[in-house]
Amino acid sequence: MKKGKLILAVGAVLMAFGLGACSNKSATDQGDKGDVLNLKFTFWGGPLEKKSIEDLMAKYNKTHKNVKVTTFNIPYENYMEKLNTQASTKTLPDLGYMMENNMYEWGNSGRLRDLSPLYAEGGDLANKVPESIFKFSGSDKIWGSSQSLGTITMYYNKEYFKKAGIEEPPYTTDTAWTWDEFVDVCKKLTVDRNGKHPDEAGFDSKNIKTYAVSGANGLAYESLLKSNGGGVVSDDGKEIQIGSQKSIDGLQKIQDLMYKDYVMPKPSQASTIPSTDTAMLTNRVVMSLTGSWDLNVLGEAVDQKGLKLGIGVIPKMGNEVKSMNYGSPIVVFNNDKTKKHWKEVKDVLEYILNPEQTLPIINSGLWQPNQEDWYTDSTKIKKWTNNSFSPEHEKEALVDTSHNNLTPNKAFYCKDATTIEQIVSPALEQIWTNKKSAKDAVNEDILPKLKKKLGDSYTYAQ
Amino acid sequence: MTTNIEVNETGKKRKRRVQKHRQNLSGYLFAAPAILGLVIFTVLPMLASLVLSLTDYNVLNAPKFIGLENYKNIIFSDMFVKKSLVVTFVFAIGSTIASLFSALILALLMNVKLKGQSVFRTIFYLPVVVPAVASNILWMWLFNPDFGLLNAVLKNVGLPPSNWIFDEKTAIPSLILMSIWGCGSTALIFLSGLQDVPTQLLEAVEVDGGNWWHKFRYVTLPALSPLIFFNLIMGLIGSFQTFTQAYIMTGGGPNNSTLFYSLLIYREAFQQNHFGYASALAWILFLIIALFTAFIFRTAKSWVYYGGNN
Repeated sequence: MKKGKLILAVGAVLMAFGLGACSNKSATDQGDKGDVLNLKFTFWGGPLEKKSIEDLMAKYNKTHKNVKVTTFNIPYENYMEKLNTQASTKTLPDLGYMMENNMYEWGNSGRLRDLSPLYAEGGDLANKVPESIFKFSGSDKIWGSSQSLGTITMYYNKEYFKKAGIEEPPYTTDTAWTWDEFVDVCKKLTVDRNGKHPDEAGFDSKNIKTYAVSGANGLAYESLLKSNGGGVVSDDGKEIQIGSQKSIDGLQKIQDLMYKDYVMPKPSQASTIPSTDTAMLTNRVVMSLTGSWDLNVLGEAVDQKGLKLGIGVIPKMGNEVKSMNYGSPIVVFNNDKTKKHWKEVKDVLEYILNPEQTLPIINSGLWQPNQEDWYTDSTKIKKWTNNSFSPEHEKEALVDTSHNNLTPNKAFYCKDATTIEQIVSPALEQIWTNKKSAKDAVNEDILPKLKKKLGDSYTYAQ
Repeated sequence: MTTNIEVNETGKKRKRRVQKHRQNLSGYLFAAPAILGLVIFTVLPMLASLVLSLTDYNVLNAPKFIGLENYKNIIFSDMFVKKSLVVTFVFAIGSTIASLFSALILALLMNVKLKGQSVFRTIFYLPVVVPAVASNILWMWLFNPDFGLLNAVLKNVGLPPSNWIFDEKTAIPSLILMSIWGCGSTALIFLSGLQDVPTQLLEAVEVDGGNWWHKFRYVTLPALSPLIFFNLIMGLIGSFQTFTQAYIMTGGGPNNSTLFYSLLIYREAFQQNHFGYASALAWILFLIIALFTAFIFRTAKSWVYYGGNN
């Protein structure tokens, strides 16, 4: 009798297990309840971004009684794991962030809705900054655009310049430093523990107290190469340019900042500098070539720790300043619901992509607006450059540069961007650690591998 | 009379058989969650990945059968597999041997009768309890070339500083060093074995005039050999699948010097959506581990000593 009961119990548990798995699906998949359309939006982001997006959608839900958007915050590291699983079980959300790396594959597989009519002339999203739109070369389709711009810029510690008696960096692109001028200033700013500069006799390159600059070998390198007339991939996505003389020269100049001029920390030394704000506050680094989003942490340092923050234009390596744009796309997933209720879905998409709605995130310093008029209309510009921490000349150095000197990011138009990145990055690490010269790394490691992998789909600049 | 007894006997037998049958059934039922778990979450996915490894599959579209194409590409034209295998092998063998060795020494120390020994045992086991991500972050600080603890120690004893995980040459040795830190659980298994070493044999060595080394070499070590064998196999399997260190600390760099095989699989699958290709990569790793394990099992006869065997 007892045994019979036990068997029953075990059986019941097992059945509950099985049934539980079934019922789970029907609960979450329940679509429209009455007249309210339920939409799912997935995204990643830290506490600030999480709260802002959740507030944004809550506000939307309040003013739109017929639609209810539910947000799902998924950790960045697991985002694609989650989405791939959802794709294989046909439970994808309706809208959401998407990793740049995966845009082409997902779009090409028909999982993302082609939004090109919205971005075409007269479309609802026609006023977005072109560099923020994901349009792969050889295709007319647009699978999304980024919620914000994030451009390469230069932040610096004003106080250090004042103390050193050196003129602050230029803030308009037409007065930008040439590379030689930049290196000269860097040498004046860099000091070792005995107070000597790199061009003085007895300079101790192993014990540098203050580095003039950081980040030229980070994300900023591509902007610098573009400025020099080179780059990794041409803007039309047809030519691999990393092998061109101008690209190699550019890479060499960046390597020289670390190993010849001693004005920028090498990767091992850079790893000891925890974040830009601390680096500036402790005078480890004076200028930082970095993404505009660093204003988020730097702004906090201004408000709370008294950092005197300045912003300037990045130096030009060639004829013109170039600033590359970064930013994650927002996409609409192709499913029956988004097809059937396209009008409502489109409305949600426009709402999320509207800088007016995402102003809290923009004014935290994390994002730049993704819309043309926010760079030209003075009342709109004032809306996002008038923060307690906003550096002087932000209008010229950030707003105008982003408007006039933007250069597109290969992830937005080149379908092989990830493959190229996987080959280029390890070789660049050899340059940055001084294992190889720029010329050798490009000719021995990068070009042979790129040619082997990509073959004739690209031409190769010499 | 006799027939009556016989009938009774067979009735009893049948009853016993039914009872036994019932017992078996409930046994299987109790084991069912474990068996089902294994089948649903391990065996079936493995079979699925075997099938997927023969296809071009990106999750988004239906898989397309391409035969052994993935395997052919991995062996003949992949640019990262060779380096990744070398890196993984060096790390797997290095870290397994290093942590076995340190675990053994640690176990011997923890076996010494000492006041407060249990405190030491707890301390040495602590790293095992620390979550992988937390310990990785901690070690990044220790490895810091400028103000990390390790370079401070080197400096104090007059040795030149190292760039640790930030240099191509020292990245893997650094990660091996780090893996030693987590050898607490292996040490604990050794410790349990040490306490089972037959004391009469140790005494016999003493009677014969042997010293501590003889005791260790001829009694303790052979008595521990089954545990060494077990830990060797588990350690190798685990280290062949190393992922977090590279994912969190180095990102596979510098210059792919820590591009562990599992990281390569992850990259193919989740960054490039090449799930078929990644499945094939995973099966190759599985075969390598299986071969390695089989090889160690083969050699085991000559050095693993089981009490009671010949």
